[in-house]
Amino acid sequence: MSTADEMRLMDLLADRAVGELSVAEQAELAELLARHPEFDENSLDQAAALFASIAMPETHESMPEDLRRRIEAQANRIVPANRAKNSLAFPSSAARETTRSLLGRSLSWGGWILAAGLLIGISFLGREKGKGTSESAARKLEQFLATEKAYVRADGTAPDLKIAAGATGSIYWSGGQRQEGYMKLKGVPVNDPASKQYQLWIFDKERDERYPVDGGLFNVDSSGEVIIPITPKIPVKEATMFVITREPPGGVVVSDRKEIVLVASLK
Amino acid sequence: METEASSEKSDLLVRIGQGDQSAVRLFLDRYGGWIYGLAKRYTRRPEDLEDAVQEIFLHLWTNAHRFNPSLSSEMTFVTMLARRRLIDRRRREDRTPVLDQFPADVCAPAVELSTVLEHGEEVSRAREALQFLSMDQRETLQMAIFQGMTHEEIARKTNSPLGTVKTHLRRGLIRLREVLDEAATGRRVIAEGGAS
Repeated sequence: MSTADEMRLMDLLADRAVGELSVAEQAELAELLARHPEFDENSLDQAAALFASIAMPETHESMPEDLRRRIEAQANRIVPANRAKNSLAFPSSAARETTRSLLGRSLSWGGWILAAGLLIGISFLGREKGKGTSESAARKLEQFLATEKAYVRADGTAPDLKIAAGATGSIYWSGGQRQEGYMKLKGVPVNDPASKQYQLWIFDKERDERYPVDGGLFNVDSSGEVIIPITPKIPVKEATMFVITREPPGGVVVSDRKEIVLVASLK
Repeated sequence: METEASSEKSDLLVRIGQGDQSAVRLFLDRYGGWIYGLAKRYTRRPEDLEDAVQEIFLHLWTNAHRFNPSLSSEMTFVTMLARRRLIDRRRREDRTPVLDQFPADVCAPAVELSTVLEHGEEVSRAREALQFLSMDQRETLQMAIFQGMTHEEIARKTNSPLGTVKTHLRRGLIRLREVLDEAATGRRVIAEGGAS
């Protein structure tokens, strides 16, 4: 990154952190961040948040009781839905990194960063772009279900209603020697491959949960039911969960998990 | 029964992110007053205050899974998300300043560094880092971040050109981040205008 770009980025991020960014500057910031994805866009927001908490007065404001009751009621409706994302959360405290990088530039909020590091070489090799439902996929699934006795099935739902309201799906998977599987999805929004693609991640019991296996890219070209073959990039020993994210064209080696489309767990 | 004392400092949001409803009450005990006070400072119209607080908590419930305890404290994460929502709301609002609609004590500076609430290593480090900011930078940041004043309001209050206010804020915040970064990585910190 050039010094000029870095200085401009820092200025814009500082302006954003104190809440003074015009529409034109927001667009400029977005463009600069897109050009420099390695830049930690949260660092100045974090510094501002820390500054705010330093100044936290000893006397707390009291939240009105009726407001608190409303917020609790809201939480009781929403928080249980987070359970679907449970297994996507960060690892237990014992496994957490012990070295804290308070405002490190290279880290983002995502928990799959190390996973990508492991798989980076593999994921770029032989990446296949899956297609929406085809007759052959439907036939292959039928054959698979008829011949494979040891397959597992995981049913999934969409954890984020904004991204894929009402989407459901079933994953049929056989590990071991076969390493074959299919997704039968319903209600997953049709995607424009030039803008976004779907990517499957397979969580393997034999691997650290930070290291999901890249299960392949695919597109959905029909609003009805679609059947997509699973194409894992490396062998999966014991699948525990399947997660579909929406990513930029070509997919990612590191998912920031901002757009989770479907979660199907075998647990 | 689980109590606040038995709950790790950074565990509540993780639990909420995992769908644990029992963490909600403790979370509200811990952060309810803080968020409410923060929202009061950033919300221009008193009638919008409760909506703003509810919006922040809705955002926290749905984004709890994004919290990574290895990157920041829970308090910093919560404050960061809350401030972002408040700033977004303000952008949507009429920018006419109506600060005088809140009682004076809410909007008054009232931020003495001796009256801070300790909540961990991060804050102690940040407090120490303040000495590396110039007085102008520190005061301008206090007005912008703690009181939620706009650049224009700060310029009027301090009789300074808008550009100067902007420079103080940018340089102050960037400097604060640099000092925190240096402290976290054990590098030598150079004071503003001289060596430490």
